[in-house]
Amino acid sequence: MNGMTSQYQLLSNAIEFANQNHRAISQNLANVNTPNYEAQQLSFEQFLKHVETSPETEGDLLRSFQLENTPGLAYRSDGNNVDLDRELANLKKNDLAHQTLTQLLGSQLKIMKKAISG
Amino acid sequence: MSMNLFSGADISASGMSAERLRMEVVANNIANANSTQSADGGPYRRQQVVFSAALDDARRSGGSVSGLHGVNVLGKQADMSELPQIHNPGHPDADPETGMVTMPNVQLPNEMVDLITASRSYEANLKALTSFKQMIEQTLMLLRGGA
Repeated sequence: MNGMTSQYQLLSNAIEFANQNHRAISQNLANVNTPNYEAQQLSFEQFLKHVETSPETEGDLLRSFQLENTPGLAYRSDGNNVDLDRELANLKKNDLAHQTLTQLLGSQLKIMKKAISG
Repeated sequence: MSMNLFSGADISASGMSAERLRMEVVANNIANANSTQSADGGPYRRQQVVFSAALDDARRSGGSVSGLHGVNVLGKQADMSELPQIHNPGHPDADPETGMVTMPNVQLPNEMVDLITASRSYEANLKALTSFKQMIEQTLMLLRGGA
């Protein structure tokens, strides 16, 4: 696929990643008081591998988002290891990433529009 | 793709309703801190909520992200710790011989800590919901031709 359309594809994949990441963070926040709950995160490596090998297949994109337990967190006495501050920071970071990506996609679309209308 | 477009909001909503229930239970405990009679006969026993992650089914089937469903409230459980006794012969429920009254096992400091935890967790879920709303709005802005 040529430059312009593959950029759309790349950006929308990245936006979808931010969307799913938001859900994983929300899940951790919803379970901040659940005993024996372990914090989850999206496996970025799996996603990257998927995008690298087949960037243009969108059908099984959701399947490529795999969850893994967040490593290196301290467990509380109730067996839960969600760190509220860490999750809120991740939420904000993910928000900003999503904002950046949608703005990029928006300006790409604007360029395309300009090229078409002259 | 079988998942709902707005399921991110459902996850946060489940967390908010769970924390709200926790706050209601705490309020009920505080309200009954001096109730020496209850439906079960004895003094009021402190109640606790039990949460479980609504994730298990999905994890068994391969652990894909579409299986994130927030939190479930399993129910309320009575705190079976020992009920304190105080000496108060004038109390209607006092033991006629010893003058001791069996009081509920509600401890205000514990309830306050629970209340603050629930309140902060509620805020965190609300924050996640607000930012989900912003994300959706931004994506929709693309349709309007701006970003």
